[in-house]
Amino acid sequence: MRDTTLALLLVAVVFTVVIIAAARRRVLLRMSLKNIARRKTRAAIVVLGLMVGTALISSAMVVGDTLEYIFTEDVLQRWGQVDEVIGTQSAGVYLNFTDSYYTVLSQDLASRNAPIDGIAPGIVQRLTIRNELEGLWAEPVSVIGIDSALEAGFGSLITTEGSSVATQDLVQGQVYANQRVAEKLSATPGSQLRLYFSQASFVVTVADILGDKGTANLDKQQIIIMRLDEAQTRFQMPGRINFIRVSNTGNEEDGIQHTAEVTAAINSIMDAHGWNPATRPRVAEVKQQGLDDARGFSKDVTQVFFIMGAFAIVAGILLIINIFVMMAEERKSEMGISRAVGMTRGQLTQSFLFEGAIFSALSAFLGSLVGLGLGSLVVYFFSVVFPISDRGLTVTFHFEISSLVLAFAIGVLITFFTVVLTSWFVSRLNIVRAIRGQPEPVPRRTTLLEASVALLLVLGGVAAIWLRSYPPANIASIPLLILGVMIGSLRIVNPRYTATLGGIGIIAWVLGPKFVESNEPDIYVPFVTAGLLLVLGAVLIVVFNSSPFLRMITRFGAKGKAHPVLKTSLTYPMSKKFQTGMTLGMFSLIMFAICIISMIQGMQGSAISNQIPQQTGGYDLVAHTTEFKRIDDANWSRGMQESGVSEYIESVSNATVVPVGVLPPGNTKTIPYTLWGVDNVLLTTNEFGFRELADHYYDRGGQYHLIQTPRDAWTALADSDELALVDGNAAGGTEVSPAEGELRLEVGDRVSVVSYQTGAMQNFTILGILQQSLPGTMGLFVNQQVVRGNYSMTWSAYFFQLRPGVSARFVADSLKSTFIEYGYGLETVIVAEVLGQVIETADRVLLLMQAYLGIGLIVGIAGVAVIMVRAVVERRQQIGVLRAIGYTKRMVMVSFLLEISFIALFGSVIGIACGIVLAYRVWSMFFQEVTPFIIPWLHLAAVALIAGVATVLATASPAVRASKTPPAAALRYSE
Amino acid sequence: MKPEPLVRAVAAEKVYESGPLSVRALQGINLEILPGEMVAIMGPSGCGKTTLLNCFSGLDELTSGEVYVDGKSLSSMTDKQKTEYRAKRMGFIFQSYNLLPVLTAVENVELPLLIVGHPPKQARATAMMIIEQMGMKGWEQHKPSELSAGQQQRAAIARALVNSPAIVWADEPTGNLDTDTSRQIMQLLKQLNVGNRQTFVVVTHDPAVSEWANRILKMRDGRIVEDTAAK
Repeated sequence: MRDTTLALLLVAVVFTVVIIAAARRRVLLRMSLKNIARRKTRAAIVVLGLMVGTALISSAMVVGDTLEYIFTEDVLQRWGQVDEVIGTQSAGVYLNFTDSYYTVLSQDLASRNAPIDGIAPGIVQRLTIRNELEGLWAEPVSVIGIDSALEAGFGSLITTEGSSVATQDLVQGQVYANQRVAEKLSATPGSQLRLYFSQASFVVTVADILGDKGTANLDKQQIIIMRLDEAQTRFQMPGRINFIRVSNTGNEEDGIQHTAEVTAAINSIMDAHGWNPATRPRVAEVKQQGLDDARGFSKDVTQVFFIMGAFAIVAGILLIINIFVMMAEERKSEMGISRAVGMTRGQLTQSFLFEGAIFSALSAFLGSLVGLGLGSLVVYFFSVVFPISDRGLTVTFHFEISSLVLAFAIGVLITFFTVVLTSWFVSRLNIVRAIRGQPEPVPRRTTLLEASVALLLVLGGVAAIWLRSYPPANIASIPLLILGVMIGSLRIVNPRYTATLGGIGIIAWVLGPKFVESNEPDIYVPFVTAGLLLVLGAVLIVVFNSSPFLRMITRFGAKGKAHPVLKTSLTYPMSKKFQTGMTLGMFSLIMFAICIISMIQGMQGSAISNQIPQQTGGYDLVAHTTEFKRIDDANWSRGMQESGVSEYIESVSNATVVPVGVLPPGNTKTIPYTLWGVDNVLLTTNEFGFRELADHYYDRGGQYHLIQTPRDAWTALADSDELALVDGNAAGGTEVSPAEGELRLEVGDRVSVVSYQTGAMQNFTILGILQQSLPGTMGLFVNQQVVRGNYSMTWSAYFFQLRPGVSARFVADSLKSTFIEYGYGLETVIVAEVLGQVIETADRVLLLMQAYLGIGLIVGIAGVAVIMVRAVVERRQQIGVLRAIGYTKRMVMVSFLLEISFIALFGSVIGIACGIVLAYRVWSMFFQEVTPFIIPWLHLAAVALIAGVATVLATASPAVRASKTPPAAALRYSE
Repeated sequence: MKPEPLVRAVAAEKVYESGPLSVRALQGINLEILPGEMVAIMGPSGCGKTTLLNCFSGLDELTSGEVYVDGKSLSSMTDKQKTEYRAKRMGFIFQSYNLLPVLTAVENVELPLLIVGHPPKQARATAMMIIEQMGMKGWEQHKPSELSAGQQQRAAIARALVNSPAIVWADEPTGNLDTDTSRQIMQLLKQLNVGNRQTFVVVTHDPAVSEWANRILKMRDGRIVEDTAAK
């Protein structure tokens, strides 16, 4: 639900003022209404043009609404009644603890009247399961042990048939399977399933199939539910559990309002009982966190759409100005007559304003609805490019009325205030010249209006310099001063020189060293400001300098009958600099945004492919045991031989892995992470790249060593027990994988690593930050002996380099099926697949953005078409003259199409040039190290071509209509 | 021997349909205009003067009847042929000048030459020559908005004459001008009519203008009610 109060209040103020003014001057209101009614087609075109901005705002909000809804629903389905989970999870595995914790917590929470309506103990193990009869495997499956008697507050277990069941109904060896795992294993009631745990396995019988709801849908896993006491026996955890679920008072959604209170109560109870903070289970606010993430994600997405849409929204504002200036021009003589018969300038402005207010309200209303349609289109693209249904998410189009209301209000305000300024500006006409339809002469001296605008801009610039700590103000400061000086000196120096110098000055400032500080936390707003200013500078230069260039084109570009056609088509836009500037700006902004996205896409693709060896370390496959178990050497050799894959493997390195808590410097709270003790083979064979590396280290004997190559850093791990290397995620993520956790380590940091098993603490110095941050291989990398010597419960991980042409999937499947027979469940990570997914996701985000901007482009082209329609109407008499003196229909049509093609061409060139220049600037500041600068010429050319052709097609209809106008009718025409 | 008429109309009719209403703007007009004539068409507003001009010059089409120009039937010509004919053999002068506002005076004047494919340099030279003849030297690089009404009409006349057309159609050429300027313009047209033997058909309701013509047609309700040689 968005807060619409302020926006609605402003709209109410605007309309109240308009209504009061209209009541006082009814005749003006009547004139405005009649003006709208007598030119219905034109009114429709105006509304169409005006609704662009609102439609884009509305669509961005609707996309945000839908994403928030999808992810919020997912969180609610994932956790059901569960609000908090007490337990220590590391790398997907829960560490066990005594069940007396549960007894104490449930009693104390009750005695403290904590706002909970359920607390239940449980055991969860991630195992590999096989339906031997069907020969089907499922892994990982969460096997959950619960006691239905303690499950009050979490809802009953409901079978797919709809009947309620309980764990007390199960006998030894019986389990319930949820629908998800039942489908995977083709299991039905009575099916026998083999569960692989430790070096043994046991068979259970499916008593019933549960619907994927409530506890049977926990975290949307494949789930097997058994009795808690049987789980304790089977998983060798007598008297122990490994997680406790808590349900707060209230339903699935509103329970989270008590999360902070409940978490505080649990922590307080743990403290009161003196449980060791390092080893005691942690409280995870799973639902609150999930909902926060969902809302944060949708907010981020909305923001990104807003930012990319900002260029199109500004283009929409330029369109509004263009439309109203054109409207004023076509009505100039009428306005002159009104002034002649006694209407004051203020009343003229008012009559325009009444019309503008009606147009604003209508267009904002329609725009917010059209935005709904655009939003659904984007959501559709989203569901196509991100097949999120694979991840159990359902794409449901959803919007909040408040979003539409807010978009409407913003649209009304933007349109209305643009109209206010334009109306005031156009009302300043000379009565006689207006009646005669003559253009206003160019003033010889600076007018009061120009002086005022110049002064305002200069003052704005000074204010922006004063506020320069705010990045957009910093960027806009000097350009505002430049624009002020430019407008102030228009009548003193040749406008061409002032505009050109102004344009160059703005571009130089934007691209100069002050563009944005590299440590700027939020680059988006300055980026948009910089983009807008860059396009403004370029448009100024082009509009004021293209005449000689176009004259040259006319002179040499066409012979025979093409010559006059080219001449008229080029002269019109160049003689109406303001209108052309607005149209060019509109087109350029959209092309600029598309160009930037294409550039990012190209460079990101290149950055990722450059980083493949650094990300993968040169390994094709990583495998690790699914539980705390080290595969001993004999079993390893036996398994490798049995699996028959040895001949496909180039080399294998191994690591001993353990979940730990990491205490970064200055922190009091440990953060769950993974400690990788890597063997000498890995130390000497891996190709992982580094983002940052220390320049020296001291070995065990205190001897100083220089680090000159990445290999030196790995060797250092063998030389010292107190050095660690961390993955990129622990230092804030990379362009391949943004940071997901809370760790923000730097080279040289001294971190403490706490064992969850014993509470023992060990210190490491961070020697380097790896490039890689792929899911499945994140953690602190240290000497293997350190892990083996200090931790008993570890698991094993293996890094495989395969021979060329060998299928990693085949090797992974062979290893899994062999080692499961020896009691070792293996999880495998096929590095190329994971990396492919990361690349694909990044690519899809940009593709989606391009699709969105594509919609912006359509809107921009429609805007150009609107202008074209107006131009045809405006020039109807001139068309008649041209036809009378010998222009054929074809020449008239081609003349209009050429005119618009030049706008599209110049707009594309400006937009693309600015995009390339700004992208280069951003690249040189942030990405020079990771990727070469790439200009996707083909892609850009294709976009420009599509935009150009689409523009010509969109404007073909008015151009054809213009050409078909009978000359006599055109000559007679007066609007 | 009587010369072949440049324009010949036979039973020319033009009806404007507007919803249930139909207006007979031209009713059975039979007319011949000879080369070198300067014809003034007069009559009250709405009598069909401009319609006659539009239909006879090929800008509009007759409802029935026929107009022959240079012996060729206009109705048998395609739009392209008519356009080409206008470009090469006709000139137009309008009451409100109708210069293209974005082009300079000389660019307006040279446009008809460029349309028929004259090389730009040659077109510019011819345009400059005629601009000089019109007494507008020094104003050629000005846009219409920077010219006086009389200057604009001179530029429009220059544009109409630059192709040396056989016939010039002028619709109220002095309608927006003061008496002095009107007289100068008509004097100019008369000189061209006599000097170049160019045919002028001038639509006007100003008797002072008709005095320059050697033949006056008076129209009422879509008919020619009087066809007299000027005194």
